[in-house]
Amino acid sequence: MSKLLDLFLGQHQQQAAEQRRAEVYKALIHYEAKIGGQLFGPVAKGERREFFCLDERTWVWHEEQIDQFGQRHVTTTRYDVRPNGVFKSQGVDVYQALSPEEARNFYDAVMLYYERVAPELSRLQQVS
Amino acid sequence: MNYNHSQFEETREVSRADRDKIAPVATQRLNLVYRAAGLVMQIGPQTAAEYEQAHPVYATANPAMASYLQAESAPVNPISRHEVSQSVEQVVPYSAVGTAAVQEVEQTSTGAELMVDDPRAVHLASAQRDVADAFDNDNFHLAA
Repeated sequence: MSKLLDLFLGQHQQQAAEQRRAEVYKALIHYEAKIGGQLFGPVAKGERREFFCLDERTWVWHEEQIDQFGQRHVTTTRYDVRPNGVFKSQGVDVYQALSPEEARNFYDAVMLYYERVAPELSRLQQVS
Repeated sequence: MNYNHSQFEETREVSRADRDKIAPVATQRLNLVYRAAGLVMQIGPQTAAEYEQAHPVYATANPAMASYLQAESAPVNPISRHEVSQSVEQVVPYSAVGTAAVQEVEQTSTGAELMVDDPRAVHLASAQRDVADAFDNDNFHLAA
């Protein structure tokens, strides 16, 4: 009986630890996204802009704006890094190769992102 | 506890216990961002069309990376649906939160649209919802 209880408690602790790790991971992505959104200049009041690395081959641009009629516009763009170039998707299952200018901007944005975010993450990994 | 930006900006206000939780995840993110930026750097700022005309510059620049990228670009179904689903869940483990928040996704109206026979496309809709959900938390709303 006590072994069963130990097993249950062990699993519960493991799940709780994993949940905490997921919360920190999520919060760090948001923190990075905030920094990433500021790479392109100040964000106007009422607007929201984020740019972040989702996984090894995916970057996300997220922008929310309210137009002159009060209509809210949300744009989410995924950048898919492939061996033959970078493709973007703004809809469901439609990918489009970047134009030369977009590709240059994307490249610069990623390099800037790394320059700004890596020192922050390095600092955070040394705080314990 | 709920983590927020100020705690990352000013870690002196964070308890030792919480700092111990943040550090390993920060290491994980740092490694991921390093690899992701490295991939972009390897490909360089060129479009797919330009790339088709050029030789794979990464093939000689970094053999290990070239091998990795070429394996990924194998023409026959390089990523199984199961593997893709797993990877999305691993990266966004909190995907069960909320409902879709993308109220409007503006379609690109210029340029040729490329339909790609990529298994990941199947999961794009759910992945986009996951991304949107990740931002559907008031604690982390980033509006100025």
